[in-house]
Amino acid sequence: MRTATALGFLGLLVAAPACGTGGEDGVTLRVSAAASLTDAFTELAARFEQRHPDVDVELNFGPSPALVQQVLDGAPVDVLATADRRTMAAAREAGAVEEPHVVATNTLALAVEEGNPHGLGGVADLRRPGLVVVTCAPEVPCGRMAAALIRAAGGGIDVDSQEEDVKAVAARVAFGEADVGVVYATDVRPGDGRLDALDPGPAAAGIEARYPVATTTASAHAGEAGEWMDFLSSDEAADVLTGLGFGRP
Amino acid sequence: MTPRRERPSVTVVVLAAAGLLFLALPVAGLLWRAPWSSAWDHVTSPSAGTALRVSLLVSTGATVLAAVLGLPLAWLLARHDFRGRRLVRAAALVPLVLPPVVGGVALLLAFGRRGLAGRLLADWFGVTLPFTAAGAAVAGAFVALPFLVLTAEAGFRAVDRELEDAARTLGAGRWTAFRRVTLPLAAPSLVAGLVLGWARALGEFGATITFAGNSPGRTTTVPLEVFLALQAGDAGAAVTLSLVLLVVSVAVLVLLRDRWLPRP
Repeated sequence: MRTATALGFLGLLVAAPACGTGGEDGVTLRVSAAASLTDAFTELAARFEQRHPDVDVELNFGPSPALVQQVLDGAPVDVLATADRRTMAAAREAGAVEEPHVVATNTLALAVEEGNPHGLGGVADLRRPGLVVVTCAPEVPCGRMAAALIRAAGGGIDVDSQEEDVKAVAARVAFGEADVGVVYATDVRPGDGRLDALDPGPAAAGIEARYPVATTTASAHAGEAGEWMDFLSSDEAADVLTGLGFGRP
Repeated sequence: MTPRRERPSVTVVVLAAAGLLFLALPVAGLLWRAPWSSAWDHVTSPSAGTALRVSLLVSTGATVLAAVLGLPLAWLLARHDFRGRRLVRAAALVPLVLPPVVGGVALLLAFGRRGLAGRLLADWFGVTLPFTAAGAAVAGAFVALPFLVLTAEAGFRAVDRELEDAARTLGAGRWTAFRRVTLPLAAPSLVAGLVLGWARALGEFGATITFAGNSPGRTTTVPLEVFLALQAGDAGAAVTLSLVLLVVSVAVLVLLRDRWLPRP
């Protein structure tokens, strides 16, 4: 009786590791991507897994510089996608990634509460006294772009809080703590229910985010990572991205 | 209590050594990875200087607020038996066990723009707390309060009532007796509570970033600055500022070395 229990435990122990790797000889592809790619990559990962049943895509979203630091610190990441080329260049210089390819672009938008209760028209209105404005912190790509937008609009805008990533900015507005947040156009979907997106106006012309994606040099699944990269360049992926509001490079 | 003459078992010593290592290694790691050559530049950079100034201001404000709110509560708990006393003491200790980020969310729900009390503050006084230094002080006071209440209660309880009574029979009013007799006698415990509360408020991160947000010069305290430096991949600045906080923490420890926990 006790032998049977022991053997049963052993069997579980042997089987357990296999359960986390996408099946019998399955592969877990670890993809680290900028926070603004959350919806896009979640959808794309699901489609990729349908086409490649033996691959399990594990997604990790966060601020681009932090993701690069994780790779440099030795995290087992196979593919890295950042929200600007500068952050990717840092990874490239350290020899941590292969040649990157830009798969999508993004522009800025102003997130306001549904119905635009303050009647804002563009970035110039952000100067209104008493308005609570939030942007990303300047250390992350969306923060640099927001700062560029404010400069292009002539400055003089008091930013009340600088959040660590663009999803946190949208959350502040959705939660009612901020009146307007500088986010990406893809962060407010039509029919969102809590947020509306406003066009910042002519000051935003030329301010564009470009998303480079690259496989890591330390990846143990270079083949599958390559397949993921090919998939990102496919028409199906392009349709998903443009459907969510991204631009084509 | 006299020490036992029998030596401790090897197992206990090994496990205790592991415990000590667990505590010492992170600190050693900080010291080892510190960019000593550029440390001075990091510490004297404008953003670090601003964060240090904000931290000092916010922590001190938080301690004062916690003292104003906590001392009367501690007095009641120490000197008066009333119904629900245990519940009140438990409530005073909630910030001690609540995860700081949860505390931040709770503060938003209470004092945020749409919060229970927050909307009244905004409508009646035009005051909003989130994204201001005052808001950061509120977050700090929230986490520092239990320390103040605990130590002050113990301090007040330890004062010999007969001395206070003697003062009263000699004609002193309640406040005079408190000021001239109770306070000086409870002072060591009160000071310990204030210093502990101050140190706790200084190190607060989760509640601050959630409730007060990140605004350089207003709410960006040193812990927030460390977090952002890490997000930006600037490990050098992060480690240097962490060392500054470590030095302050050690100084607090040394200051309170015999008064660490209130004696029952």
